[in-house]
Amino acid sequence: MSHIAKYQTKIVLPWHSSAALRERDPAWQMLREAVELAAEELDGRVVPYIVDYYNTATDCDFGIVTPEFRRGVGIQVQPGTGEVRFLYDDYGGYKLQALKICERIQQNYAALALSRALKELNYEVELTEERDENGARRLVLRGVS
Amino acid sequence: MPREIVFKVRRDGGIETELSGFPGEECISEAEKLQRLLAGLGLKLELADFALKPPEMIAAELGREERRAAGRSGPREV
Repeated sequence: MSHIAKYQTKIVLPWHSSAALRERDPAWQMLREAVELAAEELDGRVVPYIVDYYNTATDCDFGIVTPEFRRGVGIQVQPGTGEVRFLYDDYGGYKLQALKICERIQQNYAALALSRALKELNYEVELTEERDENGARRLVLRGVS
Repeated sequence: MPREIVFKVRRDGGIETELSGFPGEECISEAEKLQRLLAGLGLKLELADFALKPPEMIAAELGREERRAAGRSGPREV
C-alpha cells in the first residue's frame, strides 16, 4: 500500500542549559546550518543580535540581516521547551521581507532534517528544486531504497 | 518495485509526502519511523491531510515499474 500526506512543521530543539552542549547537539548544529544557508541564499549574513526601529539591539541565538531587511530576523530558542521563535520589528512595511527570511530558515531546516532522517533509514537521497504554482521555491527530496 | 519516498518542502516549511512501493501497511510504519526520527532531529510534524492511494494509482505505478524493468520507458513506435 502507498499513501500521500501533508504536514505542518515546527522546529523544537532539545533544550540544554549548557552552551557547550548546545554547540554539540546535532539539531542545534542543523539549525546553524539552515541559518547560514539562508543567509547565503539571501545575500545576507549571520549576526548575534538584531535591532528594532529605534536601533535598540536584542541578543538572539542566531540572527540574519539581509540587504532587504537590515534590522534583521532573530531566532530565539525558548529555554526549557526548545521551541524556536522568530523575532523581528517589521514596523514601516517590512513584514514581507521579515517573513521571507523566517520561511527560508524553516524550509532549509525541514529539508536538512528530512535528508538526514532518510539517510539514517538507508535511503539514497536526491535533492532538487522546483517552483510551485506561485513561483515560490519548493525543495524536493527523493529517497529510494 | 523499489521503495520510494518523495518529500516536497513548501516555502513555509510545510511538507507534502508520497510513499510508493511499500507492501501492505508498511508505508504507515515507515512514515511513523520517519516521524520519530524527525522529532529527534528537532522537526515536529503535525498531520494536516492523509489519503491512501487509490488502487488504480498503485496499478499505474506497478505498470510503470514493469515497463522500466523490461527496458522500456514508455510507449514506442513499431
